[in-house]
Amino acid sequence: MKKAIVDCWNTIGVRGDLSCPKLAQYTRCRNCPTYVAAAVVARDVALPDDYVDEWTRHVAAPAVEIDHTRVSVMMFRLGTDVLGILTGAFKEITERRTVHAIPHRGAGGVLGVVNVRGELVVCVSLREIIGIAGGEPAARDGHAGEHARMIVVERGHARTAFPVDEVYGTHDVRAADLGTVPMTIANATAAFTNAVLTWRGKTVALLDEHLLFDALDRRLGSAA
Amino acid sequence: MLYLLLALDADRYALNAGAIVEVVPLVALKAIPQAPHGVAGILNYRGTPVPVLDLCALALGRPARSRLTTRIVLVDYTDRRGAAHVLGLIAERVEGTLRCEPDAFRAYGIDNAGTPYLGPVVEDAQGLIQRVEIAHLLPDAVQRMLFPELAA
Repeated sequence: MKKAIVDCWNTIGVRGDLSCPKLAQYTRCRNCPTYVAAAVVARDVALPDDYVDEWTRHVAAPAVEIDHTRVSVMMFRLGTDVLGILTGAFKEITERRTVHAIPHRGAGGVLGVVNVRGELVVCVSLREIIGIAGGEPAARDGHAGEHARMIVVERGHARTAFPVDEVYGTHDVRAADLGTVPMTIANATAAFTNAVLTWRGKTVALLDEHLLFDALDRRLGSAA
Repeated sequence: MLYLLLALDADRYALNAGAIVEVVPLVALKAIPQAPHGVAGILNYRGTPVPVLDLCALALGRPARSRLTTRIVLVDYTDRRGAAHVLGLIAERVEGTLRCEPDAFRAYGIDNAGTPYLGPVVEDAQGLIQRVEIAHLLPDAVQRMLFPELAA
């Protein structure tokens, strides 16, 4: 004979008028032994046939190993391209700042230097370095979009800044969702990309920070 | 240490949670004709055949009831030669856990040679709980039958 369940949680418990004296001890009904005992009674029923079949198949199936490793990616936009870089590789994001041109260093992707909290940081065109077509987001006359920011990356003790059109912030992505770079990508970006992922319906190229830093070192070699 | 609580009729028993691989519902087993006492059958566990012992049949002489609260507890079992196996245990009212120190269990003064797998007892607010010793669940003859490499 099955015991009747008294649903005290609906009358004097958290779903009722909160008058139960045990709430002082257990705070919520789900911590209370009375609630646990009711759950035991509620589950004391015969096994449905389809339940047994389904679980028999489930238990027999090989365990699926899910890779729960996650990586944190800082995503940003350059024109129409959404790019990502491992969060560990960048140092900070700042407002757009005035870029002071360096005489005779206009070529090679170097835009000039910017003042980041008192420190002069070389500012480069990421577009030019990784080879994306399109105009520089930092229009030199200062008419940058309202979402425009500057990303500062750090390798060793050398910092480099580059302007971007928009920063989407850091996002946790599952390592399993990182795809290989399609061989058909003609874009020169592919050389700097070590994975692609889909984020908010967009394909994001995850930049390889080591290749990027190597390229920066080559470009800035004589300036460093 | 954490223990998983189960029931044999009215009394409660505890299994060392550290030895538990997984707890699954009571699923369909492949029967073993002329199986030794207490052996319920073979479970296809993730593609590996695992022998399953019915604790109710073993201790009470009746099979476990087919209820939602009756479950198969898969445990690590070390045979008498030290080889590791997974063993399934069917138990009723697998519902809760108990956290207590291993030395809180006390011998209760009866040496029941027929149930070497039932160990010392501990008391909580609802009464006594007896520990199930996984290592002593299978007599040598049953071990040789379930794990044939032992017989060689």
